[in-house]
Amino acid sequence: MNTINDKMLANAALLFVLALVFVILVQWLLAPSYSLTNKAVLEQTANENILIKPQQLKAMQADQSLKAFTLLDLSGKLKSKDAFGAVLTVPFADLLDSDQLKTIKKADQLLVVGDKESEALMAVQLLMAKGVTNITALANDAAFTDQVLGQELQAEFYDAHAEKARFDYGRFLKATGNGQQKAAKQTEVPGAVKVVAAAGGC
Amino acid sequence: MGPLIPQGFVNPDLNLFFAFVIGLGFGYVLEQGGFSNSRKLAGVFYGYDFVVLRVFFTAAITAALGLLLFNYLGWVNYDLLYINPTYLWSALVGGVIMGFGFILGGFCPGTSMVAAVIGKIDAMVFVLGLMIGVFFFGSFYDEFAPLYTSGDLGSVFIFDTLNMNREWFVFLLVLVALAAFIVTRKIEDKVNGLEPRQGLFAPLYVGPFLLMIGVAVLILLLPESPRAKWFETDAKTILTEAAEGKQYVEADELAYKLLNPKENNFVLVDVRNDAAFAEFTLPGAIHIPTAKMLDMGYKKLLQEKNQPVLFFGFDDTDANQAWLALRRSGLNDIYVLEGGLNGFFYHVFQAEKKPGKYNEMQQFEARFIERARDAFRSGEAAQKINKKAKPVTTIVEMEAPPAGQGGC
Repeated sequence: MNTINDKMLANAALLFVLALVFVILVQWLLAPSYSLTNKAVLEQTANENILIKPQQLKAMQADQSLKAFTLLDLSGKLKSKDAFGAVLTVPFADLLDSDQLKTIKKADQLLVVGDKESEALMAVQLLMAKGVTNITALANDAAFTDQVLGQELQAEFYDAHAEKARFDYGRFLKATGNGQQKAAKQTEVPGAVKVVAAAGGC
Repeated sequence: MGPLIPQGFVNPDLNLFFAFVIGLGFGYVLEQGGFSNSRKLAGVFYGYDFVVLRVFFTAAITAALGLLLFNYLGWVNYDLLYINPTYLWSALVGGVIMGFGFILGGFCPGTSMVAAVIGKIDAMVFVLGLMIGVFFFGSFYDEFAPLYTSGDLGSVFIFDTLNMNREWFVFLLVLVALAAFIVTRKIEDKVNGLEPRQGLFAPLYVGPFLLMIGVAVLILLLPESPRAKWFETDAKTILTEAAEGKQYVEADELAYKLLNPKENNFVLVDVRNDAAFAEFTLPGAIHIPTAKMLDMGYKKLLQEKNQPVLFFGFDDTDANQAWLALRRSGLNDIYVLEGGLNGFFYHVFQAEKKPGKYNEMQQFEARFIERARDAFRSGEAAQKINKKAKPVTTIVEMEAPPAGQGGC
C-alpha cells in the first residue's frame, strides 16, 4: 500500500513539474524576441540621461568627442553629418529590418535623431529592447540639431526648445478640482501596500 | 492568501473563507500522513521515524522551488511576500520550549489540533495546555515583551546573511534535504533492525530526487524573469504602428470628448511629473508618471477599465514612451494625444484661421473649435466632468501582520 502511495505521489510530482516545464516552454515559444525586459528598458529610457541636451551636444562638438559617435538619422534630413564619426540613415519604419539591425549593432556608440524627439526616443526604446547598447537620443529633431551644430546659440534658445509647458494652461482651460486637489492621492504607487484612490472617470 | 489578494485574484473579503478551506485540507493531509500519532511524531527524537524531518524539509524545498518558478512565470510577485522579522532571543527560547513540549507531549501545535479533532485525549490535554500558555503569555505580555522583541534582526534572509545568491542557496538546500532523506532512512533502518536490502530506502525515490535536483538546476539556469513574456507585443508590430502614427489622437477629437462627457470613453492619463500634474491637468485625468507606468497595479488598473486609454504630457515624447512600454506589455486600446498639452492648447486657442475658401467640413471644424475655445475658457468642460467624478478604483490596503504570527 505504501509503495503504491509512494508511486502515486512520485508520479503526481513528476507530472506537476513536467506541466510547469511545459508551460515555461510554451511561454518561451510564444514570447517575442527581446534582449532586455520591458521594465529595464523603461527604467533606462525614462532616465533624463537618455537625451543629449543641446548644450551637451555643443560641448561634445567643441571637444571633438562627437567624432566617437555614430549618428543614426531616422529623418534623412540632417545636414551637419561631418560633426559625427559616422552616419547611418535608416528610415524609422525600417529600423528593425534584420540587415539594418545588424549594421546598427556594429556601431560602438550611437546617437539617434529623428523627425521628432519622440520618434528618436521610441527608436532608442526599441533598439535597447533588441539588445543595442550604448545608445542615446538627441533632444528635439534633426532640424534643431543642425541649428545647434551650425551656429553659436544662446542658452535661452536651448531652453525655449525643451519639452515644457508653453501655455498657462489653467488660464485657458478652467479645470478646477482636477490636478491640484487630486495630486496627493495620485502620486503613490499601488504596490499593494498603499491606497490608490485614483479619482476621475470619464 | 499570499500575493493573490494584493494582485487582485482573490477578494479580500473571502480571506477567511479560503483560510478555512486551506485549513481543512491541511488538517486532512496531516491526519492522513500519520501526524495525529504522537509516537510517530516523537520518533524523530528517538531515531525510529524521521517522517517529521522529511515532511518539513519537503515542504521547505517544494515551497522554495515553487515560489521561484512561479515568480519566473509571473504568477507570484516575490517582492510582495511578507517576511516575518527575526527576533533572535525569543526564537531561541521559544525553540527550546517548543522542543521540550514536543518531546514531552508528542505533538506540535498544529498536529495536536489534528489529533484532538479525531478524539485523542492526550492531544486534547495538550491543546488545553497550549491555550493556557497562550492566555498566560497574552496576560503578561508586557513582562515578556523585552525578551519577545530582543535580538531584532529585521526581515533577514539566510542567503543574504551568508552573502549568497538566492538561487544557489535553494540549490544547496535541495541537496542538503535529499542527503538528509537518505541518511535518516539509513538511521531508521539501523534503529528498527532492518537489513539494508529490505531497508526503507526504495529505488522509486530516485525519480523524485532527480526531479527535485532537475528543478533546482533549472532555477539556477533561468534568469530572474524572462526577458520577453509570452503576452508581449513584438517589436515590429509596435514599430509599424508608431511609424504610421496609429497611436495618435488629434486635439479636435479630445476637445469634442471633453465637451461631451457622455461620449467620452477615454481614460485620460497624465504622464508628467507630480508638480506639473498638481498645477494643472485635463478634466477627469488620472496621474501615472511615465517612469512608473509598468509598476504593478497601474497596468492592471488601466486594463480593468476596459476603455481606451489616452496618454498626454507637455509634448508627446513622454506619452509615446509610456505608450510604447504598455503596448509592448500587451495593452491594445491605448493612444497618445498628438502634440501633447502644448499641441492641444495651440490648436484650440492659438491656431489662426488660414485665409481662403473653406468647404463644409472645414467650416464645421472651425465653428467647433471656436465653440470649444469659449467652453473651455468658461470652465464648461470641468463642470461637466466634475459632476460625474468618482473614484476609478481602490486597491486594498494591506497591513503587515503583527510580528510573531505564523508557524505550524
